[in-house]
Amino acid sequence: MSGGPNLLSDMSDHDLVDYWSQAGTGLGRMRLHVRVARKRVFWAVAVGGAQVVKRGLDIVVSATALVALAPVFLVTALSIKLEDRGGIFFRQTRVGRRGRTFGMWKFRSMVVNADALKDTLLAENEMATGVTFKMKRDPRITRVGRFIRKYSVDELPQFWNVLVGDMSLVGPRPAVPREVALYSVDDRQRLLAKPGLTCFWQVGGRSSIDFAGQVQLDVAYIQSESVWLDLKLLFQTVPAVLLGKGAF
Amino acid sequence: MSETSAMTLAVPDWPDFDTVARRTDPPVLWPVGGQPLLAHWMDEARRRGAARVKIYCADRPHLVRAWLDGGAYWSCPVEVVPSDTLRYPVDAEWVDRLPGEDAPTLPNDGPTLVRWWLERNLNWLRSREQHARLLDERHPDGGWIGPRARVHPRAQLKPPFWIGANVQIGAGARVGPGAVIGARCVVETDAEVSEAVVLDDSFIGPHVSLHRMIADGGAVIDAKRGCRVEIAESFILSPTWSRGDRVPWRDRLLAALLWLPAQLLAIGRPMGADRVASTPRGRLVLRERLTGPLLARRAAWFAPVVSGRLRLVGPLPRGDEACARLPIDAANLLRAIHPGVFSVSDVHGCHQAGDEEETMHALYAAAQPQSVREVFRVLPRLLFTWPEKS
Repeated sequence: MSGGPNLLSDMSDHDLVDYWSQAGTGLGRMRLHVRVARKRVFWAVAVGGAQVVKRGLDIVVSATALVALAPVFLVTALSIKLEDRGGIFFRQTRVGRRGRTFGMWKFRSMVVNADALKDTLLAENEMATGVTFKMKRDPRITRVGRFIRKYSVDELPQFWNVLVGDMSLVGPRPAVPREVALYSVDDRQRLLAKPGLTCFWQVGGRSSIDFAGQVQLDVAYIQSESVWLDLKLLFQTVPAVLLGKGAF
Repeated sequence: MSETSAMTLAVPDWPDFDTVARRTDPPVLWPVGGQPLLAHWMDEARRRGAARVKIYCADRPHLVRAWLDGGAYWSCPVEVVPSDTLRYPVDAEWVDRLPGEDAPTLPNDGPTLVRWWLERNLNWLRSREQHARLLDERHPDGGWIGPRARVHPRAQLKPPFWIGANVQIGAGARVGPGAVIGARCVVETDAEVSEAVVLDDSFIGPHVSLHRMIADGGAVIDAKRGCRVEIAESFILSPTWSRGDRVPWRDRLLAALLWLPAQLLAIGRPMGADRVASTPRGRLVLRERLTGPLLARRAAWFAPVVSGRLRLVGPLPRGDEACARLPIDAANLLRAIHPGVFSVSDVHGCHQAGDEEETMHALYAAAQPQSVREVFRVLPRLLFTWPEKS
């Protein structure tokens, strides 16, 4: 396959001849094949191993969390049920990897007909860019809801989404389809990663970061994704959640 | 264009030209700069603010529709209309070039189709400034590098080049000018890639030079000479381990177990003539015994399964002349998958590759992923099958 016009190698012709003449003998060819096989295994471990470890971590941590937090789930479920007799869980359509939608589970923290009320409230949207919908004093939030939102207890059922593989522990937050429809081609690149429970901007400032900043942080995460970074972000999320920073 | 407008695209109908690249998908789904050509048009539709996209498609519309997934990634409803090219609307935009590109030289046979494909990639590199992607980082030498790619400090990079995610470039490798290297590739020590495309999950061996070529796993598609060559030596070119088109370990293990009983049954039976079968990893000479049960007749076929060149259950192995009788896209589909020692058509008493019934089964099997159930349903019935004397 040689024969390109600009074949200027650092190696001398002798070295090149030595290399290719290895392929002339059975033993030499075997040596070359083994070298490639070794290289391929190393590379498969480096690239594929990270994915396997990430998924393994997702399964182990989310399963453990679901079991360990069962008392919290029970108390929350009871108090939601007692407050207004509505449903305990709330299944919201979110946009996952490559734009596929999935149902994300949450504890219900708003009144039962919250989505119908949203349209009337859209005009009072407080976020500057208008892509994300969040407001600080939302009248639809129930009393229990305000408490569980402050300490992110409402997000805990998402460990189920992590366990079944819709989401990962660490990754860009999944957006609702209404927001994704407004994304530009560049913003869409955050859809290339599996969505997660926590990412840079949840640890950094949570909802107080504007939309462009969120995209930038998500892209920074996808660029530098590694198991080590995931672990670091997970540990940083715990204090951020307990202090209730930026959640409303 | 206004906010509510629709964009109409026309997909060229070139399945008969694909005699060289031998891919299983229509040319609009071939990668140009790491993503299918059609994806660039969907991005363009998004930039123009089109509310929906209508795609007229004569060439394998089911694959185009499946890949678009309803336009989920772009949040833009997409309708794929299977249609004859004569019935395409006149105002449709042809997906035979990149958005905003001048009219290209259109292909009229296999070699020109490969050149068309390479040119789209190189033109995409040249106009890269206009559509830089957020995820790629600009290299100080002037080119783009994807996330988590590792480039050895002694590698020489000459712009324009684009290196995808998770790529490894070895010491002394010369990349560019004009190199498009897909995700998860490995370019080894002192290899050279210029005016060439390396498709995802390919391994370029040490001291290998690619110029005006497209490396596709273990095969090279040469745009200069207009041919496709399957490379048998893994140290020259091979697919990396992340590529899916391999014989499953399940088959290889089972074949190793079946090898000895098959050999014992085959003792003393007359051997038929050599037959050449084309597989995704090059040609393979197979010989079948003329008498006895199927297991004994195909006793010699188990060793290639163990070494990963045949599956246990799949379309029967066939040579180039049997493929040549089929439409080109169907032949490409059959060439892309590993043939099997046993096939579903064997269950129906049809043991000859290339027969009408066998071909039907083969195409059906090739068009969809193999299920484990199929293997375990077919195998027990065939191990004891005794074909009628021919």
